[in-house]
Amino acid sequence: MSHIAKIAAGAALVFGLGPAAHAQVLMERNISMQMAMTAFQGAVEECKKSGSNDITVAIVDRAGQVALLARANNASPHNLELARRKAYTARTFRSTTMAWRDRTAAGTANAPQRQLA
Amino acid sequence: MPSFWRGFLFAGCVAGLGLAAPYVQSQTLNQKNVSMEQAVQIVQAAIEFCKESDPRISIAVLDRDGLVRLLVRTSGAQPHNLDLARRKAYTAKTFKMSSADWTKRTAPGSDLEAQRQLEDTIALGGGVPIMIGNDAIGAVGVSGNSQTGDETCAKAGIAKIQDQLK
Repeated sequence: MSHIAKIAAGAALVFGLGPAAHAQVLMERNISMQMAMTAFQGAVEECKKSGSNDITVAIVDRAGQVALLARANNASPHNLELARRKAYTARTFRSTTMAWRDRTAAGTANAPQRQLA
Repeated sequence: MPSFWRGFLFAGCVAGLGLAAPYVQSQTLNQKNVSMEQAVQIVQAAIEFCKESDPRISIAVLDRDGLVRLLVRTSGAQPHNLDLARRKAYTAKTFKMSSADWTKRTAPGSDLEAQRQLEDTIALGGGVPIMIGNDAIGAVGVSGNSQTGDETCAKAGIAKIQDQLK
């Protein structure tokens, strides 16, 4: 084996073949439609207990894409987009929006995260 | 008063009366609309009705303004499905007819072809308006199967609340 071929074979072993040997289809868990419907109805029921009879709900999946949107009967024009953005924020930062809000307060190191679309 | 001015005055009075008449009876507009509770019933009925023939449907229920009342994306939906469902419903709502009928009416070469350039419309079957008499109070759009299959699912959803549409 020539010198160059040896180097190439070594490089292939280090960078390529190892991971490639274990390659397989990615399996990801995601929210199903049935789960989305159940979660939506659960939220509606829970909020009725505290006197909120008319809530707008957004459910996004693991990619942050809409799985379900429900606009309340008396919703204001902004409610649906706000619900969706709250869900997106919670999904992408893997925390409640309340916690994320505190973590990204003005003046903190994480404040620029708020500039994300 | 010269006759010219008398005529002018008379015309002015008539115009004034004509304008004023409708406003004397002015009152707040009362419009019927699709409620969220109805939207939930429609979606559940459509899913139930089509669970054998069309288990992978995404559904949009729009209100009388063409705005989203309820969107439900099926498990394993393709990226386009939800927007297609919404646009089918929007088309049905704004033209007060099924999107399949609208598709025929706006066929290429027809007088109405240019309607297809309107934003948010889509020339595909699967959108059905929710009618009370001649008033479209909303619409349902389905995407995920054949166009006729989608329309059947949408109609099954509306049928569930048909007795409330009055």
